[in-house]
Amino acid sequence: MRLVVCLGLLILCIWGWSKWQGGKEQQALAELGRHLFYDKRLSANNNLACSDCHQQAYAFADSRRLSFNTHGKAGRRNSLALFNLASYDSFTWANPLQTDLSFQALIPLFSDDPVEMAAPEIDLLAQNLTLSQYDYAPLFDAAFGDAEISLTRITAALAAFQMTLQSYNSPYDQYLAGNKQALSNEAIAGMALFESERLGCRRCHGGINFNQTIDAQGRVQRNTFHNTGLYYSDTGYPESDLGLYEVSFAEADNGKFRAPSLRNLTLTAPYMHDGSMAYLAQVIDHYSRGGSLNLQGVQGDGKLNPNKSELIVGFALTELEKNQLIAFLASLTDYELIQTPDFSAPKK
Amino acid sequence: MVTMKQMMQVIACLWLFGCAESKTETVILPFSLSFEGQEVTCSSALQVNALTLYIHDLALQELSGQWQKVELDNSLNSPWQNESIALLDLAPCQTKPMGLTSVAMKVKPGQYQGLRFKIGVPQALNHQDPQLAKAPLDISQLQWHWTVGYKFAYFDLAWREQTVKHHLGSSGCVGNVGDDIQCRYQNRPEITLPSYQLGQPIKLELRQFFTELPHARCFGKPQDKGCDTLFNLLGLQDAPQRIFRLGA
Repeated sequence: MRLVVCLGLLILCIWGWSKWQGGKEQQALAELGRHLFYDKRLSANNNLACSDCHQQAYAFADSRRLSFNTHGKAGRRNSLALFNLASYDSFTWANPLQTDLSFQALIPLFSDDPVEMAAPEIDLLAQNLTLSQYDYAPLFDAAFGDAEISLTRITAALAAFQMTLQSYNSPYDQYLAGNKQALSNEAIAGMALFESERLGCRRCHGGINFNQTIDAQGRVQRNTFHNTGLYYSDTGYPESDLGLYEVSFAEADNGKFRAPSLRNLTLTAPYMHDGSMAYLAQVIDHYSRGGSLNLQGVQGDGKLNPNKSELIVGFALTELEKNQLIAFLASLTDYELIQTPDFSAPKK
Repeated sequence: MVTMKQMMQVIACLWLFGCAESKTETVILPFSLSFEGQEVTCSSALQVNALTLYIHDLALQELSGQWQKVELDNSLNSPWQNESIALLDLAPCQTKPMGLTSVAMKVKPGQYQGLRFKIGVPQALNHQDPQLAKAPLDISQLQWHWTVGYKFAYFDLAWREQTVKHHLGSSGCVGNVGDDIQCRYQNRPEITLPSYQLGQPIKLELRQFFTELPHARCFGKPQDKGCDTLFNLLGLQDAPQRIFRLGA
């Protein structure tokens, strides 16, 4: 009997130890990833880090309408915010092929259409990292057991760091947890509007992260792309960016983009894939009208776009209700995310 | 102490090896660029900023009409080819080429009347995790990360005021990385050169890329205006290809 207990304890100890070790490794990996995320040496001109287009102060989104590349040239999209990434089945604005966060990092690093960071081939990149303000040898060693720099290691570390960016401490979360003081009456009224069938926000922004859809069969879709009627020009959408259609080649996908999370919305302006709306009120007007007219000077009424989602039908809203809705959306902001030192640029 | 059995094994190995060696000879297949029939050099009016091609599935046609699959000779341990796929870099006068200007074929001696090959990366290799890929598929610049594949062909040309920029690869793909990915458009042109004789070089005539479009580009998106010309020239539409020709 005593032997069995001893053995049991031993197994428990080993299990606990290996679990703790695994946790430590994961932590070391994320810590390496944090340094890489903030390192401009991953770009061709040593002037652009991941963190330049994904800034902590803006919930790891970009406050500029479009993000700029290592050569100072504007891209065609507004960078998405990075948090609670486990709630997505794929990443980026409109590419269901990007199901792996490590793999996805290869796009900003190496893409030539559009050019983003323009990192060199891995041999040169590894050399360049040895000149960094950060001392990578101990970081790689802690994460992998030796100091070798490889592309797989870099992207795994970047992914590990991004997965640590958790954000579940907004007033809304506190309210759900039982703190009834966390939301103002105005925000509570706004929540009722948000949840109402009349506005139908939840049709595309379902779930705890406001980024899921329930399909006709009642299944949860974590990967949803919609044409929201931003544009209806001669070519449907402006040809500079046709969204999901560019990947799928299915014409019905022209102008479809991801329904992103609504958390931290007050930090992530401007809005939409092309940063075409500067204010939340504009976004609400857009959905209230059921589409935009001549947005960004592009002639045409997006409301009439034949690809527009059937879920976007428009709704009437009083000024008071609009303010309530905005108060609710503002309560989804978690200031801890932008103040957590573990998510900030590491000291030299 | 060497046993009789081991000795027999060594002899058998040598015999097999020797036999295999004598069965094929290495034939070089050189590629070069031409523009309006003139060879392209670094001082040509045509400026070639980049031109790379992956090729695979080479075959020679016997006089009987039968096609014989041809392996590539990997005995030189080139980082740009293995026995089944080669990467060509045809931009002239490069200090750091990213591929070969000719491939070495392992050919059974005999008479042939035609050559064919495919441009691109075979389906089985096209959607692998590129971070684990072996040469010549380990080049980030030629990996097409947003479509989870490779740039089968890469053209960056300039002539007078016009530019031509093309990335050819499979598109309209669905699936998961590292899993099964299916593409609606394979875009692997098969180039057939009838009357090819062993030793003949291949020329790519580039003048046709310059059409009425001042800046032709095809980067694998449905709205790219240059794709029609590119696909047509490479024989991906109904007509045969018009870029590859046999040289003297």
